[in-house]
Amino acid sequence: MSTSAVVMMMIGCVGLWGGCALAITIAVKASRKEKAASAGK
Amino acid sequence: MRDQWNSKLGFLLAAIGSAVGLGNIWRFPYVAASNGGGAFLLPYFFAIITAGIPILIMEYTIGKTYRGGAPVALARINKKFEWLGWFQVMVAFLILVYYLAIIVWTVSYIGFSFTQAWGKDPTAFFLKYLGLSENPHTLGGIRTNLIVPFLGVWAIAAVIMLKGISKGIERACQIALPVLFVLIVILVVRGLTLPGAVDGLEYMFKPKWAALKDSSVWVAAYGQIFYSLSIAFAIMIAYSSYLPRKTDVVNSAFITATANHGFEVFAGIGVFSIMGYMAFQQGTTVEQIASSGVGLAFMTFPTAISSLPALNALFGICFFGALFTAGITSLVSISQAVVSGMQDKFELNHKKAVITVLVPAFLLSFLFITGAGLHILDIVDAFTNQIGIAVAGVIEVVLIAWFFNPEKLRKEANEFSNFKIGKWWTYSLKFITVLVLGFMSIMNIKTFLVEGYGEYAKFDITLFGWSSIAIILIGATIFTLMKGKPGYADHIPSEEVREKEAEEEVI
Repeated sequence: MSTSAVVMMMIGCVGLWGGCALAITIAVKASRKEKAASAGK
Repeated sequence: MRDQWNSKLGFLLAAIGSAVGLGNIWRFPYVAASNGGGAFLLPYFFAIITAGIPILIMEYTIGKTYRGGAPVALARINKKFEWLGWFQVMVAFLILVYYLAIIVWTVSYIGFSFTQAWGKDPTAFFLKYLGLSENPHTLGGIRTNLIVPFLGVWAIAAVIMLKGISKGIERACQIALPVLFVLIVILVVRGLTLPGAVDGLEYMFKPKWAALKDSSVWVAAYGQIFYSLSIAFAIMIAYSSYLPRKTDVVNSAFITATANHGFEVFAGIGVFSIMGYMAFQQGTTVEQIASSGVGLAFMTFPTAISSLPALNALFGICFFGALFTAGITSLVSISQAVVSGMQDKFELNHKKAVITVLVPAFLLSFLFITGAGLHILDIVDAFTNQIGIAVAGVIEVVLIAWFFNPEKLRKEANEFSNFKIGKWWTYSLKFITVLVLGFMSIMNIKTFLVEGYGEYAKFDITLFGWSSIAIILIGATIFTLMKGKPGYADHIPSEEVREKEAEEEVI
């Protein structure tokens, strides 16, 4: 398999699944912060 | 009290389940491979950022702010916009009617996989299984061998729908999405470990940069994003209308889009490594083997499954099980788009709304288990997608971006979001998305008018294709003119109600 094909495959997978993991991480952190804030009220 | 998602995870799994459908598995790989291979990822990513995510954010914000199915939510923005909501609901209703038939076939093929009942000639087997008639207007009677799976799939859909959002759709997607993911991982791992797999991946991912000079490749990328994300046909507005107002929709849109498109790239790896194996087996090229849609699923893949070195039944069940799972989570979302439309405008409780939608859909769907089912499905699918959804998407973006106040929506979207969307969102919608989707819609309509569709006779294209568009237009007009419950469109929940909702527990 050519290097360029491997690179594009990695870009496709990492770009999208990496983006998804990042967005989920942000969501989980925000959710925890929100719950901590409402628990503290 | 309006039903609501139990958790944000539940909403996200349902939205991803809606977006991840049959097209992710049997359409994207072929579209990518035949539009520049790895180079296709460039316009594909560009389309995600300039159209997919912006439209998702727009629809999520409309849904959670105006709190109704597409017709009511749009009517609350501007009474004149209600017709577009019904146009989208009618598109969803037609898709619901034929989409179910494909899921019925996947159920049958899960059964056939145990013994690879398709034998030496899967194509002939499939055509015999369908009892395919010569043309769309020769119905050839209802196929009795399809009745049991047909009633089974309808029963599953009805049970999920009658249980509602939180107890039905949310729970079903919490089960179905992990199952779908496991099945696809099994297929991808199996595919990657087959001889010839790298040739399939080379064919799919080898970048042909020259293809990017061809505008049709960019239109194909936008088309793939647009059709893959379940946008512009009332689903995402309906789903997000069951979110509490204090929900982060920006990040939700990013998660939905990246998961949906990440899934289709991953599934593409599985599909094309198995195509590579088939080419290796048959001593031919991947290009010769590669196909998409119904042909890939029910003709090419059975051949591949039969030629696997071991555990053929298992991998057949995994493949058709994945199609079934992806299909059923999309089917219930399409149904909910129509149910929400009915329930939020007319004096109907949830059960009545579900029955009002599913009974006519059930009766109409018999058309797609006749001998002409595949023919009719092919035509109706082409017209409802390439004209119905495309036009609905353009009108929606034009109305919101040019005739409403997108800055107001952006402010509403940002109010509870972890990260803010900038003005790029407004400009993407106003200019890029409108131009590309507008061009795509015009091209599709022109192609159908001038060249017709497929090999079908003009008579059949008119009878099933253009009449589908007519049904959508007439239906949308009738439902718009019909009297709804008092005040359904007059207001969005008053500040007091929204403040009370904002106090709700954060999900």
